[in-house]
Amino acid sequence: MSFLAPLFLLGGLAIAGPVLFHLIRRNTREKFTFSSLMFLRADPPKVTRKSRLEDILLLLVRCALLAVMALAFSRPFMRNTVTAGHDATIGQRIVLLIDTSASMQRAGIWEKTLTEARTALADVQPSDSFSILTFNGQTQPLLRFDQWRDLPEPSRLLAAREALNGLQPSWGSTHLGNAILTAAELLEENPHTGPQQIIVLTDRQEGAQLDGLQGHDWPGDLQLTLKTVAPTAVGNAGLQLAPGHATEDADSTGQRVRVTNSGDATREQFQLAWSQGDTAHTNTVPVYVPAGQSRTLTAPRRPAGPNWQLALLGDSETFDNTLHIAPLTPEPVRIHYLGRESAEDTEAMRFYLERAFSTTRLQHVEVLTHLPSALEGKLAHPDDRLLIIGEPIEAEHVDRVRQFAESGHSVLLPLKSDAMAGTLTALAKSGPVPLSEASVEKYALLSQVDFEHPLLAPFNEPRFSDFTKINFWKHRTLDPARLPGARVLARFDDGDPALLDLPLGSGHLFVLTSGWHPVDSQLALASKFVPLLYSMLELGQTGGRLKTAHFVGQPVTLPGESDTARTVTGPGPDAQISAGQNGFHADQPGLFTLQGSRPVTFAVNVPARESRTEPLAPERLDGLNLPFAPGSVEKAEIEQNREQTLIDEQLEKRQKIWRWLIVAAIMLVLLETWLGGWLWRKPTAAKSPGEVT
Amino acid sequence: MPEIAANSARNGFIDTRTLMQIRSLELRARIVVQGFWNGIHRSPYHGFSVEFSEYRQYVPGDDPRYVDWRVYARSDRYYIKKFEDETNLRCHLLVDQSRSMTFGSGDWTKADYAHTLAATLAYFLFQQGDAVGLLSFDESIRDYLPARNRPGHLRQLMLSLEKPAAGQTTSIAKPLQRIVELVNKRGLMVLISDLLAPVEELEAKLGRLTATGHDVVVLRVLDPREIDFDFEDALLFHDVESEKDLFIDPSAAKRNYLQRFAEHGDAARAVCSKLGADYLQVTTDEPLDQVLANYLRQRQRRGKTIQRHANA
Repeated sequence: MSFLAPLFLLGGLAIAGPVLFHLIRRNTREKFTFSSLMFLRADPPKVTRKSRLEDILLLLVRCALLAVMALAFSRPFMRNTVTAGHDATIGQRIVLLIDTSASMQRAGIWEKTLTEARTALADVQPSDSFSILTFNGQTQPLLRFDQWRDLPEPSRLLAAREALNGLQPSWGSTHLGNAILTAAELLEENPHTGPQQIIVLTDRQEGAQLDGLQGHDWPGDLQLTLKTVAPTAVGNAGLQLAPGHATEDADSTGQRVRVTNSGDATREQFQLAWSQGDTAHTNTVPVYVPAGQSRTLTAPRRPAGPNWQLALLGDSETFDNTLHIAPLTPEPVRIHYLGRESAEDTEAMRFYLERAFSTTRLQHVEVLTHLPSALEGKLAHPDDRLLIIGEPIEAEHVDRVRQFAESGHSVLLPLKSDAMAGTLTALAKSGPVPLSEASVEKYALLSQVDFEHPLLAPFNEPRFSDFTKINFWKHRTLDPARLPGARVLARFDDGDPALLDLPLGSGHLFVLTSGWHPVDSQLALASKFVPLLYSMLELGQTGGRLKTAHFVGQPVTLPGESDTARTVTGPGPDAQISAGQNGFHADQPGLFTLQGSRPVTFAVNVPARESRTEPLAPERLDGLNLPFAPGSVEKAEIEQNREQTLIDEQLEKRQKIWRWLIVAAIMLVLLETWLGGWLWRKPTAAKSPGEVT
Repeated sequence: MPEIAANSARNGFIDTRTLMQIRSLELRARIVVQGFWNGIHRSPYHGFSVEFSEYRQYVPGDDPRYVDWRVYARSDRYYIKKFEDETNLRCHLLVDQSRSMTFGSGDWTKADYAHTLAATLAYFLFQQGDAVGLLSFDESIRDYLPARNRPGHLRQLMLSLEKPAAGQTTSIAKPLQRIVELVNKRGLMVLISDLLAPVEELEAKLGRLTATGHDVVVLRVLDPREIDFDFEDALLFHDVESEKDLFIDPSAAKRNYLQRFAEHGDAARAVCSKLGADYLQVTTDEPLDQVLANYLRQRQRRGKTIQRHANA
């Protein structure tokens, strides 16, 4: 029996009350009329020296009443215990799950794990079926049931031991939930009449993921044993990239990193340094992180040269003390502008366009201006992103432009004059699109902006969505119905379309019915101009951008074309990425480089969760209602902590033992009343007439 | 009556239980007095007799009739010979009717006993030809009958004594004050009470009574249980006067009670002794005639007699 509120059991101490009252014999019903109390003093009642309890039956009823009340308030409930024991002749099916996550590299853990695994192996009976799975982020079979079955009986254990011998902890994360589910599914795949057992050998760290276990319907004969392997020394500090700063350039502003220290740590003083190999450290800064806390700080400046990695010094567990940071290289981006304007002509669009893009840490934007007739051979470079057509183009180039857009790039067509009608008609390929100069009284403003469109989505916030400060002095009028498939992204306040998106293949043709040069509008001077162009650049990006921070066990999506085989080099052997694939799995931390025409370097680090090495709180396991084997350490531990869990409350609510106890209490009250009345009457009748009551 | 006489013969005294079974107070008194009378006749003591009191030197203004000429013949000086008042003893019975007197551990209460005692005394004195008065009191005066000796007065007195005790508290001070005011002739004052009241007020008022020349006798009537505090079980004690309840475990409280009770009794006795009053403690289980005999013996031993005034 367990209790939801065991403190109420202390109320049972109230039993001492009736016992004492019965001992001091303070029976108030015997009232004696005396001549004068002037010689008597109210002394505190004293326990009778005879230690003789009066009215034992009444006392027992009262004690029982108090005990039952205390019991009811403590809200007891029964825990269903699975009975152990099975027929030894029927073999068990045992799955041994071995945690090979990075945290298993801690001192002393792996040896103990292997010892435990061998012990488990030694307990296997000849009639049992045995399988070994290893898990980190993924679960992989080391010895399958069919392999075990196919082996002759004498060599089974030997094969299993050999499989264990070659096992080493990996750098991956711990997905305990997936591993247990996989093991359970493995057992379910082969129906079996005998008992089934899953033995998990893990360090049971706080960072283990338990997703998927909640609400799983476990088979009745499945027993889970979680064997915790403890390290020789507790405490661990970890080093991770601070979220949100992972792409910052370490060379310029310094990398923001986070140092965590586990709750059971004994050390608090660490050092952060750039290291090259195991010995060379430079730019060292001290870090003070109390146990159970974390500190986010700017890493020291990265020294010049390759192969530097950020290291946390002073921690005994070193598996998560190295942070690989890929040096950032700005991505080259090319923008083509077709026009005849002079670069210094402040009345022309080109002048403003070239100043809109500056070189940033992430992008190196190059604006290339061509004559409309000189488009031949252009738009073939992989860095080409955006084409802006400032002048009518020749008919022979239309297909090239359309091809450029259809391949996923963006083309912007500002209709700075009626002469652009032909180009628009040619590019849209949907019949003539008449264009006329709109009559603007003083100025036109943008309205009905479609913030749902990806181009304008970045402005979809109250502080950015105000377009009313941009005055358009002139604009052209067209009928959007003449452009089938075109989506009006913004209109002028006179109702004419201002910005349209005509999808071409996987790209876009954006049509602006005005220009950004001062004659047409104030757009070039508005704060919306540059973000709008960058938004078009983003939409024109075909390959996607590679994140520079990855974790072991997580797939890395490689950028760029995938029609040729590529090679990823890193700390381990080179990995070949076949054509059509762009996924890569790193099995260890380090700097990896995607070889190709333009090599891309990315860093893969130990998962941040692995640094959380405190023991997993039993409540987390308990809430999952895992089918722990009776008598296992985890079960006992969990039962100690069960009071605080929701499961217990539900159990208690379902059983509602307290109701029966209250009923019993009521019965006892009635019994006590009747008994009290009976005892009251009994001595009164026998009382001597001289005693006044 | 024959049964009582037999009892009396067996024990030497009249059995109190048998006596108290008699409903009529007058009859009870008569029985006691008869037995007592017999006792007196057998005893060497003569009780209230005519006695010479003292000589006093003659001063002008004294009645020359009382000059003792024989002394004059012997000593050549005029002396006045004083006698005790032998004819009319004026006795006032002061009977406590407070509620504390209703307590009784046996078949009768202290009030019953006190009434019988008063009735006996009254009867006895009446038989002697003395004037007997009654003043029954609780916190105030309830009944007052002046001291008289005439037919019917005794009957009236008995009726008055038969009234149940109904008073709330015992307050001796007020009745004593009142009796001093009412009775200006000196006489015998017999206070029958349990004296369950502070001793201080007893001292003040009793002092006034003795100061006015009254001969004061205090008969303290107590129940045996009040003296012994013979209780075993813990009880809720209810004060009959103050209506207060007090939970008492006798095993723990007995010592203190007995000590305080004895102190109170001693104090009352000391007060009486100091003021020249007779003090006699009576328990309700004592035979009445024995009480009276004891009292007389005690008076005799102290060499005191009831003051008799030649002409009060």
